[in-house]
Amino acid sequence: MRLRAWAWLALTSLPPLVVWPATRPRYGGTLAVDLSAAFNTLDPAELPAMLSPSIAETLVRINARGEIEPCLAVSWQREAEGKRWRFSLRPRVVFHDGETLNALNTGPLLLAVLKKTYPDVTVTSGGQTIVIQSERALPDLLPQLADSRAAIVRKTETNGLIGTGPFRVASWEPNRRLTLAAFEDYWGGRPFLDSVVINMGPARATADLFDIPFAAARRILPETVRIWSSQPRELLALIASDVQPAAWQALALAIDRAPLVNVLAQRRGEAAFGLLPQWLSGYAFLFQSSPDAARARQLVAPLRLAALTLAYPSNDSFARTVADRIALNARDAGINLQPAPAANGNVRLIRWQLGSADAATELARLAAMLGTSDRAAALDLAKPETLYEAERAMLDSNRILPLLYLPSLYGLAPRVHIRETSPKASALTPRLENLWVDP
Amino acid sequence: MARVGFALWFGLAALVRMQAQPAAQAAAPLAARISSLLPPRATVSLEFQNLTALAPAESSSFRSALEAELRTAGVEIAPATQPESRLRVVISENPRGLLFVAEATTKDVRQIAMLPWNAPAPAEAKPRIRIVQKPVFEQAEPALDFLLSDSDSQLLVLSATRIAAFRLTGGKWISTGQASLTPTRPLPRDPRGRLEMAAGDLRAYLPGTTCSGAASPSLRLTCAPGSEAWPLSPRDPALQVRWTADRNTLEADGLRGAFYNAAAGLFASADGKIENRASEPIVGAEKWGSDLAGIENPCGSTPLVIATLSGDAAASDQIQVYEIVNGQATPASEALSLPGPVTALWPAETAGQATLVIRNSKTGNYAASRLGLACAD
Repeated sequence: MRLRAWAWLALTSLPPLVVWPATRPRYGGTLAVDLSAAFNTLDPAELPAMLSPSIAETLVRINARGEIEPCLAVSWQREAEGKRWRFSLRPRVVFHDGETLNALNTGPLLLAVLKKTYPDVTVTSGGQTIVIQSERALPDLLPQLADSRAAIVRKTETNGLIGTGPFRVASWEPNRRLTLAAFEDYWGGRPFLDSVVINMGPARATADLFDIPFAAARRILPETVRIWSSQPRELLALIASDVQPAAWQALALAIDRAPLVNVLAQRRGEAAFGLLPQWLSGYAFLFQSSPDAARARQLVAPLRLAALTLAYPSNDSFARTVADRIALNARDAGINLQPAPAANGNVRLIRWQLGSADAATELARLAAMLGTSDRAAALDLAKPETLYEAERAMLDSNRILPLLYLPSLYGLAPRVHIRETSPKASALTPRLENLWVDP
Repeated sequence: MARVGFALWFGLAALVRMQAQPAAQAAAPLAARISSLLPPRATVSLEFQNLTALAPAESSSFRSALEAELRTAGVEIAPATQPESRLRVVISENPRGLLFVAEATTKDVRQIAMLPWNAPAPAEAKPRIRIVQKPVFEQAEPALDFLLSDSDSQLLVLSATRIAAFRLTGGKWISTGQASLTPTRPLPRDPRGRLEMAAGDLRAYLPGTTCSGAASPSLRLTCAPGSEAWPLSPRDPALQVRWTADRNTLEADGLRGAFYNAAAGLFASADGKIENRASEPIVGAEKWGSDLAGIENPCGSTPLVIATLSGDAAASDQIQVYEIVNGQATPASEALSLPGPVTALWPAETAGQATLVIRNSKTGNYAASRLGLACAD
């Protein structure tokens, strides 16, 4: 077998949604999946994004256009100026253990989740109708319900995750292996695959599907492997914990993102100047700037800066290379920035994953992470200026400095095919229920 | 051949939302927003950028329209030498469609205006000669099969959840009724179905479910579990097939395996091969996909098959007519490119026609048409 370095990926990779064979999908077979990141819980909110919606579903979901669409709820009405929401549940939906989905078993599950966000919320259940009510308007209820934390799931002593999705949990060994089986009674049609075996740990290129994390070392892949690439979805950014504003502005001027993209990310990512990537906001180019080390030095000169620590996640070799590069840029500006694998420092390098194609929801999540939720209080997708202005304000707060946006990469064996059902299908992860394999 | 409009009912909201607005129409509202950012009778330099796949002609048309609208609004566009204000207009996009962004800089003050705009519809591939394609309707919901009657003025559409009836009035399909289908099993993820009308009896065959009723005086159907057998072609009652429950394949008595479709004694088997009844591979059919339909030959007596062509194609698919001679398949037409994968290909109820449904890869809509054949000379 001929091997090649993954620097060659650019020539072979597939954009999302490209695999649509003229042959109809075939049923049967087992898909072997290797994921490099281990997980020790079946909590839908903690599962990898590729797995969670295939097992556990939500009332609504966000499609690739960033629109809310029906899932376990087929329709909804907003009443009383957004203080009351009435949802009609999809009929003939069953949980993996055979219990029928209805308002009586769904209502308490929802209430427990929603109480964490809306303490005064009440949930009333009757037949196939659920009414969610609060004393105050709930404008962001739909995105909240689309979040995997609001997945409608149950658990028993013997089964840690009973959902309604196209796959059910067949066996589970925390941090080692998860086996999924096709759910024959899935409301959206049985998946093509009979089963999926997910092994955790170092990903083998011999698996049918495996993730390709960005790492310091180049990965060797068999020549036959195709690459599925998502839209840029992971933001690498610096967070200021304890940095003078002038020093922060100097650092922003000093950073040269081109080597981060072209060398470290092997041209697989894009430079990030804004918080949302260009494909999602459409206006990220407005934040673009050029490095200006001379101006940075002017800003630093009067400051008498002590050495600063740049903390990056331990065991993350890619983050380490990025941190080293940033330290070099900082030194050129007269800033002594010392990378260290630690949780805290004057500056932190973070990796932040987009969860959906809804720009407003993602900006609100980022604002919450930065502790500036008030900045995202009036986002309106129909008025993109509201998003731009909120993003501008968050960037001007001298708290966050975007560096790089990376896509998710998966290797696909030749026998694996993807049948995407809609241009609205997710552009962020491949969906297991849409995969099929040659015999 | 004129496309017949599909009237207002299910799926139309999605359809309407995806209808294109020509980019040039965005010029007036964008010019109004830009002029509100500028001093009265401002002189600006204009920088223009297109970050999208919008065709150069349309981009150019938009720019011309914008310049005209700005002049109408009292904005003077001048060369970049010492203008009062600088204006940068960028055609961008996000998951919701096009986004026009204007950045006006007067002295050191920078102001931004944005205008979201629906993405334009993709240009459709035009059919070539020999295969004659007659579009019938388009809808957002998957169309599994359809029947035309009464000189093509009545239409019955089988979808995954209903059968809908329409009458052609003034060039538009007007809804005359619908009957919900209640499949006893969830339909496969690759939904398929067949609609049949015989002596006033209407029958819908779905994997795991068979529905029967009548189209008149009112549309009514009753569904029952089970995959009943039906003739694959109205003109070949010998081959009775039935759906495999919960799957996208067919079965027939006397055949050992499941298959996707069959015509002229050839079977597109579930393992991806084109075979005859004896499971022997067919020479010349190696490039076929998994859908085929028999169709009468208007230019001779050789059996003809319309087949999809295999391959990993995202945005398009192809069909081609083949002659079947001595068990071998020979191309009899040019391949016809389609702007999306074929989701249904069946022999039609009318001789000399086939039913085709594709899913347009860019709009996501299901486009149904009738295929006929014409002699090249």
